[in-house]
Amino acid sequence: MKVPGLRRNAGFTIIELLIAVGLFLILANKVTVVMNAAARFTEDESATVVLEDQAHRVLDRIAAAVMGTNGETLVPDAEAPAHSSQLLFQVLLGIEEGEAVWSDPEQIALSESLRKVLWRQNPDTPEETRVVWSNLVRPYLEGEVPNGVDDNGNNLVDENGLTFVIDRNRVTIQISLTQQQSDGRTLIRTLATTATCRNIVTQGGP
Amino acid sequence: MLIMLVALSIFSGTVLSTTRQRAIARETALAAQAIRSVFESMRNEGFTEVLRLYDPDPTNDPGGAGTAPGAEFAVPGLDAVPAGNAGAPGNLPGRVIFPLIDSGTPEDPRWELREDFASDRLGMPRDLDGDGAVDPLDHSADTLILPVLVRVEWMSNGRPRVLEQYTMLVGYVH
Amino acid sequence: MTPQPMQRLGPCRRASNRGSALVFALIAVIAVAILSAGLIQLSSAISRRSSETADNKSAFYLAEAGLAEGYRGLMTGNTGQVGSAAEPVAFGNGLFWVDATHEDGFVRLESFGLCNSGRAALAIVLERQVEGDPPFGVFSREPLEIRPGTLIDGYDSELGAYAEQADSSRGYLTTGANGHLASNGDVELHGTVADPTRVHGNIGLGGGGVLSSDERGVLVSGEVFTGGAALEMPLVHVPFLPTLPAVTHSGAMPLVIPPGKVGYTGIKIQPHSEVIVQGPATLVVETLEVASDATLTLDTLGGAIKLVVLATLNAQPGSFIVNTTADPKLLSVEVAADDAGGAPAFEFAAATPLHARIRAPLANVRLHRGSELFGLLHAKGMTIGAGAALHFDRALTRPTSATHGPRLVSWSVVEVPAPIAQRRSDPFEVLGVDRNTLPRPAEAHTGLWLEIRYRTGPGQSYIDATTWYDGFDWSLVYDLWHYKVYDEPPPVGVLLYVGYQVPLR
Repeated sequence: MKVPGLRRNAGFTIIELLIAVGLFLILANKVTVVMNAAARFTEDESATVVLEDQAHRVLDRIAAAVMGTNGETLVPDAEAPAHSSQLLFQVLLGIEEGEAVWSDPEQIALSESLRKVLWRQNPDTPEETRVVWSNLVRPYLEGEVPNGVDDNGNNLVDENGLTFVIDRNRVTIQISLTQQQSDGRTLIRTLATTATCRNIVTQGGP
Repeated sequence: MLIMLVALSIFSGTVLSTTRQRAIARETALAAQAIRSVFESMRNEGFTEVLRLYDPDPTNDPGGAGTAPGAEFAVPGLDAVPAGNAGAPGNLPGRVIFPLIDSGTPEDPRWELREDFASDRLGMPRDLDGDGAVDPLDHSADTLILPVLVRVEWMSNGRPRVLEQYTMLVGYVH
Repeated sequence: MTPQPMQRLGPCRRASNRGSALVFALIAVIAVAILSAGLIQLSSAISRRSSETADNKSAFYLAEAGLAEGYRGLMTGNTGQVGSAAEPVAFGNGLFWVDATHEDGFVRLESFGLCNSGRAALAIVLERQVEGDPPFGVFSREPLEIRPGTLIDGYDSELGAYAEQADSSRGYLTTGANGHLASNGDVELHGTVADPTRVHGNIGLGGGGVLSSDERGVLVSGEVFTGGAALEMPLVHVPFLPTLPAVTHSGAMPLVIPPGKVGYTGIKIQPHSEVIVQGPATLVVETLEVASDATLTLDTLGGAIKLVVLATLNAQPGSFIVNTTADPKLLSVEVAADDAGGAPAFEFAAATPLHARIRAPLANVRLHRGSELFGLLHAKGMTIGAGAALHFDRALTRPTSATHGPRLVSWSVVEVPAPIAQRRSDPFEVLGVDRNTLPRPAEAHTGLWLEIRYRTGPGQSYIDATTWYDGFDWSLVYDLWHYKVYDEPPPVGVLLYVGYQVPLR
């Protein structure tokens, strides 16, 4: 007999529960698969962006330094197709009482391990200070191996992951950064920029 | 289930749009780096040579016809806007623009550096040769200052994007 | 009917609508939302940094545009100031302004460029004390004495060689004109009937100098101007070059210095030896000595040569110094030494004529008997030996775009003022200006004042004028003594620089 105000309190059977949980697990699994794929894709994208961002920042810093220096005083002064993975220079800070005021000697170079870009002030002296601008440098530029041959077709032979090529007052800077991914894959990004020395300074002054 | 589906679709949409955003940011950085390379290369040349090196006329190249970089340049990693799109050059993504007016014919173009070139962003029209007047003559040989625009136009996910940078060049005495 | 006892169906429960599925769904949604928010934040940060970098590059080149505009203003009679922080100049996709400061012959231009979120500030220092060389073939800052038998005349290398412009109608080979000479002190001309001195040009005496000459044996075919202001000479600027050790060359094989820029602590050329310098070249030497029967060949066929001497240059009698093109415009000899009254830093006794522009603002020059020079000779002091011939090349004091203008001394990046650097929004909003009302670069300059001494034609006296620089008609100038540029009308204004050549513009 039906009693008014009383609903049927039919619960779930164990089978219904098991089916529901099973469905939920399948769905959760699918969601996890999708999210993992998205996360991996995002990780790749992020790693690429981080590499490129670091490369851009290193290039911008080097370019800013080159612009303030005097092309005649760049070391090495070998012009293209000669190349170097280090640059020694001084930046003109300004003029004081008619005399040019230069910064302390600075050097941008790869570390001995060829993996780091180092900026050094007063290199090889007791007053040396150094900053690591990047620790993801590839030992050799992308596509290049140390075999005495121009492997990557850029008219340079066995160039390192950080390379300077000088043409009169213009310096072309190329950098290859690399990073190992969690799944063992290697990500490489190579970028280049150009900067021109703007100080053609005379010594002695008036 | 419905809620999960909606959440999933929102998440997917977010991933897609952030990926697109990062791609645009990366492409913009490449374009900016390319424009800087062009400006810096111009600074490496003598002031009197820059116009002939980067104008659209290959016959006046200082080192011989076709030896100069010219007015268009490629940007590795960026695809040019296809010809036919409004405002698109159709060949390479990068373009150097001086206040040049073609006073010749399509078959025989004759580019002139003109003070009466109209471009508010380039500060034109203006006196280029320092005589205090704006005239319709060719000042390629006697200009004191050179306004220049470098533009990179590329296709990004089916849409054209553009980056422009402006500067002026002058012949400093050292 | 008897009511049946109520059957207990079980514990009497209220209908429950609770379900764990909703909780799980909510948890999942929240997790997804957090992930999405993180993604969006990371992506936005990266995009923002990327666009800031692009904007900073744009701002950098706008600041460079400002420097170019300021420099162009200095070339055309303006202070170098372009706009201001209160009223900048709209250019490209942003704006800039340039602050100019003049002090002790230097001009400092500071340019600020703003584009979207990008900010940049650059500065250049320019030197501008003296614009161009005084338009005289021979100029001495100290009293000048000319020995008997000297010929001074002029020609124009852009019209051809000297020989093509000279004739012997006067009984000796000369062009008969343009041999202008000047001194900031007294000028003494000595000559005899047997060995006359001939000056085929004008003589200018600055700084209160007086002309005296032997009554017979001296011919001055031009005009004599006294009472002019003392003339100034631009100093020698020594290029900053790596320096090689001293070289003493002897032997049959010539030593060839290839084109380029190089310095030596010394070069000594022994008798019967030759050193060839190939142009285009800049050669900086501490001491240069060319012995008798030695040859210094300056091969200007490939390009101009600039020879900068830091201490002494000695071309001994019987030596040979040859400019292969015989074009003085292609050979410049600059003596930076300050010999302070000691032995002359430049002694020239070579057997061959020298075609060159020679300047020694702080040193003495001695031309030995019979020397011949085509070009220009400006020095602190000079001794011109008997029988010397100096042929002034007018093309050397004609201004060119390569030499006319303030000299760039330094370029540097400076700090952007904090109030502007910290606010990274639209620059027009930051500065509170409307792009549509801002001036264009060419319209935002500040002019200078001019004080000029010039002649309008041959036979005319020099006249003085003070006027707004932009308002002066340079086509009126036939002969220019000098002009002085001030920031305000003189005598209130500060003297910024002195010029000796009609400006290009």
